[in-house]
Amino acid sequence: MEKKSTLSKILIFISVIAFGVWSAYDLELSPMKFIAGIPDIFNLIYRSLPPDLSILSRLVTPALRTLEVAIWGTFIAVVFSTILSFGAAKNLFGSNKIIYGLTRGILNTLRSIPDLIWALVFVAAVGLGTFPGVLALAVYSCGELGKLYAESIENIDPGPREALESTGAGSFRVIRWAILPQILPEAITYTLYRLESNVRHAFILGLVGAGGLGHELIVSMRLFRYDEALTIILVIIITVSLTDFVSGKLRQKVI
Amino acid sequence: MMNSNAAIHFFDVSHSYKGNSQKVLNQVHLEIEKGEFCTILGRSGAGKSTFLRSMTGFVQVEEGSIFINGDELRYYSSSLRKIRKNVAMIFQHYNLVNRLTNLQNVLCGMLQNIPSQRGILGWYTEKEKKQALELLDRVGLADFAHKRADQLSGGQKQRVGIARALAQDPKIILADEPVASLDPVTSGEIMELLKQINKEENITVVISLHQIELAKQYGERMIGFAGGKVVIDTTAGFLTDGDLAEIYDVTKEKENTNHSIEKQII
Repeated sequence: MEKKSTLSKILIFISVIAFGVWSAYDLELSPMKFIAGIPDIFNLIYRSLPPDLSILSRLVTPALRTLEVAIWGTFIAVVFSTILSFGAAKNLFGSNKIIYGLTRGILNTLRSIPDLIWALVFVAAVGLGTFPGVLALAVYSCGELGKLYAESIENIDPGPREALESTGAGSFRVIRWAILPQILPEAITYTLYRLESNVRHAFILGLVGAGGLGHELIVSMRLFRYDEALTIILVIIITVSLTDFVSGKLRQKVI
Repeated sequence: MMNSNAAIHFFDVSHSYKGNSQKVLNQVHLEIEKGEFCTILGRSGAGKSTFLRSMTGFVQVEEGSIFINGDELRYYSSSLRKIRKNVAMIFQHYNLVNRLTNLQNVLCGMLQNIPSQRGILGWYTEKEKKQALELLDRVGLADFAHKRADQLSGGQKQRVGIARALAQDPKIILADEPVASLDPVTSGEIMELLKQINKEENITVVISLHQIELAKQYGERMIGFAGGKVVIDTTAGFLTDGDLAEIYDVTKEKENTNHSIEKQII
């Protein structure tokens, strides 16, 4: 018996190693290639120095737009995910297979497609600019937040809910006074994390035509203006750090 | 024939939970009159909680009928709400909303009596707020009105629970082991408070208890459950050791279980 289990462990180990080697070969992972590319990386850094700070004033509007995209995307997501999350919470609608199944299905679909893909879809639908970026972030974040909110609702203490239901209060009043106060701190934390993440994603979406600083970055790269690109990257780092700082402070207050 | 003075009336009520053939309520037939102070005794699983929860429709009984203040309990929302408005519950674990203030928790007891929009937005009139404060004062917690519920001790939380129940302006109070998590002194204080409410407001009070001494001290009528059946229904002064043996007899419980297993096999 023991021999059999040792043999199976050896077989699993060999299989994992074999898969690792095969996939490294398949992906053309080559340390030599990387080492050979190091001078080019330095060359790129050298060509981007010093950063062209003269474009800073030109970057204020795109930076603000990126933040606006993230904020609007998160806000729209919060509205719709809140509604959907109640339907997707097992302790509220678990017995209603249609509502529960439908809302769960919608949330799973929305978050299983990455926001970059949603951005490509919305750029094709509503054209280039920040609007498709807002839509992409809103749709993806709705799926993410909806699932997290639903899980928070499922984890509430059922006692206060039962207490309010036992008074004869209607469903909305029970949700407002027994469920919302319990999930609010968690929901705010999730929302702030999502906002931070959306700020980072908003830059990436700019690369596929959804405007903002990402768009500026891709234009500078295509024009081989690496000094401009470095300035844009520095502005991105500052914006992300500031958002994380503010969001962290807000989170501390809530908790 | 139903007594017009009955607050609670059980007509041959039986119930078993899904996946368990053993009845938690077995042919329960009893009447509790308006203004009575009733204690329910029984071992864990004897049917006490199910008995209480069935009166507010949290347990939908399989057989029989339940009448609350003359209205038959039916399991659709408007009927349930109508019944629940007059029946307040007090819980073992208090069931307060910890992140709300004690005043807000008490005001929650009034939610069913105010218009929906005001209820959702939490817009209470000055009169309602004053009433909630008076109720907190009555349970000795006026100074804690604006503190959060999670800052209170167990006994204080139960007092807020009682104030919330009173805010409902109920005709019946059902208390499901309200002192099970409290020390003996605090338990006595809570029982005293409930007794006082029963006497002053003529509210029917039904309490399930584990502590026989408390039941003897405060209870007027005592109903003993065993295996889902009412095995004893007597006044406190007449409760004998034989009655207690009937309620708590381990051998009998085992026999009941064996009997039920035999029945299942047949």
